[in-house]
Amino acid sequence: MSTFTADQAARNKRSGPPPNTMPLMRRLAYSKVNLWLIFLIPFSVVWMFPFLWMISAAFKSQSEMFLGGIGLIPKEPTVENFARAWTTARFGEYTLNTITFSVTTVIIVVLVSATAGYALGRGRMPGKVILVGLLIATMFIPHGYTIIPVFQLVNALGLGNGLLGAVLATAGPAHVVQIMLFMGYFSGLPNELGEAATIDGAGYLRTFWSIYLPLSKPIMGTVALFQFIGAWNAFMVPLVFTLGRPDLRTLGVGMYGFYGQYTADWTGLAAGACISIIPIVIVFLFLQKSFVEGIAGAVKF
Amino acid sequence: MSKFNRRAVLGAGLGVGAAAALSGCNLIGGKEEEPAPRSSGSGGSSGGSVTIGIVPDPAGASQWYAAQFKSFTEQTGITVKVIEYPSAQIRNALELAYQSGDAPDVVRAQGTAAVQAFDSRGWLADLTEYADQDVIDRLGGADAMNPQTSGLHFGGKLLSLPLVSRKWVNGPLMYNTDIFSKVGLDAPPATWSEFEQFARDITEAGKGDFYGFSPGSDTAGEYKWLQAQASPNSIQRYNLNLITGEAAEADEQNVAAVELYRTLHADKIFEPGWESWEGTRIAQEFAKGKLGMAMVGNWLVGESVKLNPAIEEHIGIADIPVPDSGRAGYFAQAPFQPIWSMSADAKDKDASWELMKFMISDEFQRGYFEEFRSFTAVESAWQQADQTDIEKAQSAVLDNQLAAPDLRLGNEAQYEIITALTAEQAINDADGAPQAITRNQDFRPMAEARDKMREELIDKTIDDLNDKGIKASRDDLVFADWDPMTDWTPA
Amino acid sequence: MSATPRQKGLGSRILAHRWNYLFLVPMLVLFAMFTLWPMAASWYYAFFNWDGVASPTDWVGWQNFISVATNPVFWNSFKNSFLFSLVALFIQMPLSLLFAILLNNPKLRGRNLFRLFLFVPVVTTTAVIGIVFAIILDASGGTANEFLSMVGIRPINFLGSEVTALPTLMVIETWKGFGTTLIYWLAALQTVPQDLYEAARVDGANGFRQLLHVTIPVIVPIAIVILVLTFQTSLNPFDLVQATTRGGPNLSTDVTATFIYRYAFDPGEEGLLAPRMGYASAAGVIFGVATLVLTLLQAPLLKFGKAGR
Repeated sequence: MSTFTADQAARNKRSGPPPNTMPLMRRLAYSKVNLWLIFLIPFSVVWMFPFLWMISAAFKSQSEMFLGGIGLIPKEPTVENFARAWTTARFGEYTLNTITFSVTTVIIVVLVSATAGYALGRGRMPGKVILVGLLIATMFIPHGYTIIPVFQLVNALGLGNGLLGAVLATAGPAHVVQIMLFMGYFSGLPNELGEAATIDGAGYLRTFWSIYLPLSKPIMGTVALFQFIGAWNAFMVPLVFTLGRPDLRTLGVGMYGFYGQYTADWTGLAAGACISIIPIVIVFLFLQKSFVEGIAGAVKF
Repeated sequence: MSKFNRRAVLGAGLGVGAAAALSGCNLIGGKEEEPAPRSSGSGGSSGGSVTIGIVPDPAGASQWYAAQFKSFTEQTGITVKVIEYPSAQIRNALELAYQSGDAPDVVRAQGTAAVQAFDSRGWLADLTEYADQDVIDRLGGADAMNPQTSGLHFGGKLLSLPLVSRKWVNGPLMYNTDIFSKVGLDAPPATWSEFEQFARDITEAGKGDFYGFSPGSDTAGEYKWLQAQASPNSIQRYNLNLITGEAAEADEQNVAAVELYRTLHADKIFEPGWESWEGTRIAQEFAKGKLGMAMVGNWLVGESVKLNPAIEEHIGIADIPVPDSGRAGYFAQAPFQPIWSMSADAKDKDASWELMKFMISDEFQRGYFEEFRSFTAVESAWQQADQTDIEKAQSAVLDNQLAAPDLRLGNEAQYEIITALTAEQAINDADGAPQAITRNQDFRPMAEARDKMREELIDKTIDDLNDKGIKASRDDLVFADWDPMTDWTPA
Repeated sequence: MSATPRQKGLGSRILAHRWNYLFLVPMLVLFAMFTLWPMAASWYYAFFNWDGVASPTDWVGWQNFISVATNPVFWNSFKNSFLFSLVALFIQMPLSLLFAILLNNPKLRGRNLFRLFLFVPVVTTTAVIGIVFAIILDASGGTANEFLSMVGIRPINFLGSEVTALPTLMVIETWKGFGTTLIYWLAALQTVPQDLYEAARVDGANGFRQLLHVTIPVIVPIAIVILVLTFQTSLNPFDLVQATTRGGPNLSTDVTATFIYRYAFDPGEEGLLAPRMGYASAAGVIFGVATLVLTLLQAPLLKFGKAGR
């Protein structure tokens, strides 16, 4: 019963106003707005062209690319480029590394922000206000400028020769928005839930783990999704940590290296780009609603 | 937002997480548990293991190196783990690998600048004691391996072994005979003005299908090859005139070479896009038949053929054009180009040296020549081999090199001065010429400004050296008896 | 937790919350290690001449700050970084607002598909898609130039010429970030109450006047939030620049992040024998302070925005 209520509450809280119907605009636009399609359709083709090109080139033979031509349909489609990217350019390893990197980052960020958000959201302990203020203040510090100390720190910890170093450098800096999301959510849940659990003899840990944390699935989902996409696309941190370690490279760094070696192997690069980009686009397509709502949430909070 | 979606996220996350946990060997890393060597052979077991950082250049090098190292493992029992770095990023990658204390045992620290940089931080092992007489003989004997002229020694220490021949560094003029005949040209240009005229004629006739000429890469560095035929080649190497002992980037002929490039670029004679070319891109364009002429490193000649075998019959090889006033210099008989170095903290130095020694063995050196048609450092490995007409032409051009004074020769003062010059960022002219060319700016004032900084730095370095009790003076840069038109022998 | 009596002393209150504190430990440890310490260390390093190996020992005072501040190459990268921001604020934001208004119209056919198209670049890896662009825009054989030569235009070296490289990267960066601002604007438009439009219609306002007098006034507070968010994300075009031009040609696309990267991690590219970590840190500190100041300048705006809601 409690699950239902909380979920309901969360849904009400998170979903925006009902879709806008705009009766007047509709009437005005009825005849005119679709004229925009004359612009929008070709515009979309140009907009999506990098993707169209990427997929097309990935299936072209090297000789077809070599001879040039702007046709998008490969004359003799081949998967040879994918084989080359996967093995010679080692995108197979890079994919595995990227999954390891992204998933570990997600797990750390979700756990750390959930526990912190829980403590800050449910507890009214001394120092809380100061801490929250400090967290928010650090939000305004640009991220790129601390890469040098982070690199030094990770190496000093002896984590420089595994992906964990890059993971910590990504997951380590406080994810203030995520913590705030959890904090806001947990503070909105009724106290009765925890009190009932306490009466049943559950301690702090069990109350968190089996009552509150499961209720926060919507937040966990949002945080995990954002973090996953962010980690998948990360470049600067993985570059610094894995350029010197090809066996640890993520897809972004692998692509950078591939381009640095085989600048002219356009079909192979296109296949590498497909391997890097298509999985994350698919993840997005399946979960686009959550993702878009999450982004929209940033301006509504 | 539907509940289903959230579950899907979690489900996917956990599923993938489990997969990664099972496979996540890369997460922690650690030096002890090396992943299975990529190119180990089954033979031998107690020979140790070595990691080597290579560049998979030229095309097909990955497989070739793997096969070679497999043979090495079979012979010695030493397993080799190969780490491949992209050629455009090797220096950056090694820098980061060294910084995080995780560099391979043997590295491709290519070129003087890289070796100097890594040595200045104590990252490279001194190989002097390892290099026995056999090694010295293979590389051309005491003459070639003189610590002061080999190119492999730095401050008296042997820090590197070469891959290709000393003569291989500077390139020829490569031209496309097919395009030449289309435009009605029957011989390569001999002089700068012929060169300029041919470039213009070809680009005009090509109408966008082909072009007369293009710099070899974004640095346009080979304009200095033109200079070396026109004035002392120490300007090509150091921007110093070693006859007078003065900074000489603003040398008449050096400026003229840049100006030639600049006008050709301003008049849109070069193939568009050269400003962003790196690595083998020029070979690709030549192989496509888009370039009438190119001045490229020798290895790119073979690379062009590999990219498009049909181009082979259209390749012509010629000397670099000389100024209209006539030849006034030659390429310097170059020192070796440093390629392979050992890390100071290599885990098993003996095994690492075994691998380095293997890379100057006949087997390896001949194999490299046969596969990539590059004249390798051990001349005996390829001199007997059959050469194609193009290679014979390349050999002939390569023989046009003269011994010249080298600043790493002689005394400590000279070495210190040249190190100070290469270490000073502000006068590193890497961007100087391309800037003048692409921005269509007058080169001479820029070169003069840098020369002024060079002069000041030389004076300061000399003073510093004298303060430290090392005898140094401007005379250390003066080789008054040097005639750039003849072989130079130290007095 | 609300049961904790307020009257108790600090010590016992802390004790009562020991579990809460324990739950904060992982976050606090990481926060201290990866947020606070790096911020402090950036300042500390900036006072040393240091190659990054072993500990910094060569204290040079403000020397690094002075030489960064007098280095035109640094200011060039600084200028380019802010040009990226200006494009995001003054081109990407208004343009995406126009698209949002268009795509918010329920009568437009296929509007969800168009929204999807405009958004997809956001989830792609910048470094990877940047390389795809570099190939498409290649001067010799790239599809864009093949098109141009078909209509008789001489190939343009989009990313290789000093004149075009920076604008080209800005277009790519705009393409990449467009979807995010679009979503922001769509969310903002949803907050405009319908009855305002009704009222405007009664007053005889046409579409444009409705936009001017109804839509814009209502969304201004949110627009300020969008402005701050866009400014924050636009400051770091490192991925795109490093993957495509690495700041070239002739530093024409250099941004502060690539400048710092070269000095700290790729000294060879900068013509140095060894990294200058202290110098790079000083550059980072100067850039960080400047950004902080610019962000703080937006604070009054933000306050105004909140008040307006």
